[in-house]
Amino acid sequence: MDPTLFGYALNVLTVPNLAAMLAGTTVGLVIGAIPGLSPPMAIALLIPLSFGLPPETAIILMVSVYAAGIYGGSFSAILLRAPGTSASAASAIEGYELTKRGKAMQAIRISTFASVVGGLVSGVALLLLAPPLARASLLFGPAEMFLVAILGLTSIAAVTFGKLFRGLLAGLAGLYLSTFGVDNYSGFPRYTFDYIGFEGGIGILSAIIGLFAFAQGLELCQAHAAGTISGVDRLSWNLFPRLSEIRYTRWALLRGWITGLVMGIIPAAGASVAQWVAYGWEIRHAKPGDQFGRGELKGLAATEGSNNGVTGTSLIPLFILGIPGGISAAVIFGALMIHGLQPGMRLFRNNPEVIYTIMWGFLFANIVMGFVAALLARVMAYLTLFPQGVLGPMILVFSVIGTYAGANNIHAVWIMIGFGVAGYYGQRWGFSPAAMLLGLILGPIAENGFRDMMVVARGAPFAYLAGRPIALVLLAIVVMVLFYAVRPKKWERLEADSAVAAETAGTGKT
Amino acid sequence: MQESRRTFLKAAGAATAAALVAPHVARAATFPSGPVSLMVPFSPGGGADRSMRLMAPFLSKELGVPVTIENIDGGGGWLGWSEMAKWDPEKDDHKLGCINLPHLFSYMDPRMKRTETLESFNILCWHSYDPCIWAVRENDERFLNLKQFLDYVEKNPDQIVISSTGVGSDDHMGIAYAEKFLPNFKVRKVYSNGDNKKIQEVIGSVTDCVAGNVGYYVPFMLEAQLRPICVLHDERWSELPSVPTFKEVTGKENVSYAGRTVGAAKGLPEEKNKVYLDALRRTIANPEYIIQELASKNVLMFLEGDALQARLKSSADRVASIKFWESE
Repeated sequence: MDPTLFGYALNVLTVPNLAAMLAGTTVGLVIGAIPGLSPPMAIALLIPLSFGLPPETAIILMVSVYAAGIYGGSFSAILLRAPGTSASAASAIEGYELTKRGKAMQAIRISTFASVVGGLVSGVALLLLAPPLARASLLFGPAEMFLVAILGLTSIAAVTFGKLFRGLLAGLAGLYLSTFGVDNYSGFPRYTFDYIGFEGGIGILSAIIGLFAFAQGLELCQAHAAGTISGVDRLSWNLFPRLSEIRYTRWALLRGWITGLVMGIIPAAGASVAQWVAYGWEIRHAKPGDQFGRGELKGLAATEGSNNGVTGTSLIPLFILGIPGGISAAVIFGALMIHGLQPGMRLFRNNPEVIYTIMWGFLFANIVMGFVAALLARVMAYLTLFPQGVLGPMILVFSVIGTYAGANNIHAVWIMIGFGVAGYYGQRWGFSPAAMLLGLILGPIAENGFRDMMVVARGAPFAYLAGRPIALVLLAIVVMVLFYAVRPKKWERLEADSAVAAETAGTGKT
Repeated sequence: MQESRRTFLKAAGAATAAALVAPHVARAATFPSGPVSLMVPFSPGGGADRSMRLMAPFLSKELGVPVTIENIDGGGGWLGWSEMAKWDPEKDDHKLGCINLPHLFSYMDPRMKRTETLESFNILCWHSYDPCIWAVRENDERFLNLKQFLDYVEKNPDQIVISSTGVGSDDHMGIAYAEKFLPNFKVRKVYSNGDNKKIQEVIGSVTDCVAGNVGYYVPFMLEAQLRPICVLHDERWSELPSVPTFKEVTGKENVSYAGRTVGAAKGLPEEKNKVYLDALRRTIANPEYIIQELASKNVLMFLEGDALQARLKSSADRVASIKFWESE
């Protein structure tokens, strides 16, 4: 390791860099929290602005927006069940249930802790392990991507909470919808039904806003108008997690962070896949008495830990190989280029001071984010004290505006509303909207992975798989997970157990 | 009734506006009178988006009004372009759009049943030009140049895998040309939406060759990860003087490129066209802007009038001759 590595840490502590972190995290948190406005969009808007700044300050500004944007999405997910980004959709499930039970601040506390520490852990990995992790990321070819997607899809079984058949149907519907739009292998759009809005495929943006935010708006519109979501009229002032909360969630946090770190280096996987894998894992390891699906802190800790665990390591392929793994990374890539800094190993040789300053900047930005978040969270949590009769229509309006702002076309809004209605009834009748979203997100990764694999296997897919160790490991994990999932009695047993646990709580018997 | 009411409201609004800006009547008559949106039919962060975002502030200075980027992503650009073809010359006179070539020519694919053609658009000028190249891994000993690559393909039909952007893209067009006009050129193809997946595949040894553009791939050559084996251009490319053209090796002129043009509403009055065109001409000649684009490895190429039309026609003819949709 470079002994001067720590020297670069001091470079970060200049007034412009600190200001960039403060501004970046604040903007990221707000943009992230608003459904429709995404961190990549905010970063893209910074491109022309970044010209006037020194390169490291410009990039620190961008990575701050990136990290905080991923975290900011969880505010609206937890408080309103309206995830601000696709990276925080899984947090909407347990997070909102906690809010409904009057535990909004507890949810925010643990989510902040999970995100900040997740970002820090990921940042340390970025700083210390970048070259070997970059080499590892090159081992992920089509076969591996296919299996990663399948692994993600197995989480459908977990998020159906006992209604396995309906959940699978919802997941299948999501997979089907994911095939809409232009197919790269033929250059031809599939399933357009002569509607121009389907030609571009079904946008994740429309799906996520519709399935969660819009459906939630409809739900609130018919709830008791004067009542509040949580039923409480005061918020706790405690912004830092209690030791007992951290102890309770420690394994979930750790598993979340590790999932995030690993998923970060996998090309095209990222936070929106990591959270579901981590969440699925927790549910499968549920203990009797756990409240999964009804507001389980461990579930939230895992999803929030994993999505920010992704942030640092997802920059590794970009910095080391010059391959941007996602849209945010692609925009940061462009900004580096504009400053004459071509990402790659040469950057480390020629401009180590710039790249290491950026990496330290990312680490510090996560700490700054923690403080900004603590302040903002308290303000945002006031939303849960609003009467539902006001919140519901507000969410509906914001869903429409947000979708249009994000996609710039009216078709995306119609599709969003379609998903909203589907999400509303799906939630009522047990067709998990989360399962549908999973199908939509993972469908293209699975499909392209499979088709690419069949091409590069040159007619011998099994021999090809046998020669790829990572693929074999993934296959083994998938088989194991499926074995867990198809034990249908498990959920009923858990339900019964937790019901008993709830009844006997306080009496000392379990 | 409705119409007369609207006319009345419009007139009233105009009167109020005129009263408010009375001292500046002269300015109110200028065009453009408000912010101009520049539509990019791809997602933020992509090549077209980056380039247009760099251009926006310079164009804004020339036009004297803000220029904002509007991404309408989807359908390989067609979600945005089908909107653009419908722009009204009066109502949508404050809109510009980026049109990418050869991607626009996918309307020729009869399966698409598109009603739009080149004639549906008002292309003002050419903006940038990036020729296609083929590259292999630097450490791949099987083929050091295009000749050896083609020989290898001939001896091992259907074994070499090329990473390319999807069917109908410039990268695919170059491969489709080779498949159509070279005997014994049988390869496998893996398609992507973007370059990051392609580069991951070829560097990670999943595929053998990558079809891409000079701009994106030169840095990887400088990093000694990739070796270019040919450029799909009519002559050697200034940035890569040692790399032969496809024609030099095979005798067949395989020309493919990623080009960007800027267009406005079809039927826009000539004087408004001229305002945009003048501003674009000055922007694309602005040294400050050129330097920024060079840093992003993007080569600007301004064409207007007859030169523009000739280039559009030759490109359209080439796509029509390859009939890429028949290649699958």
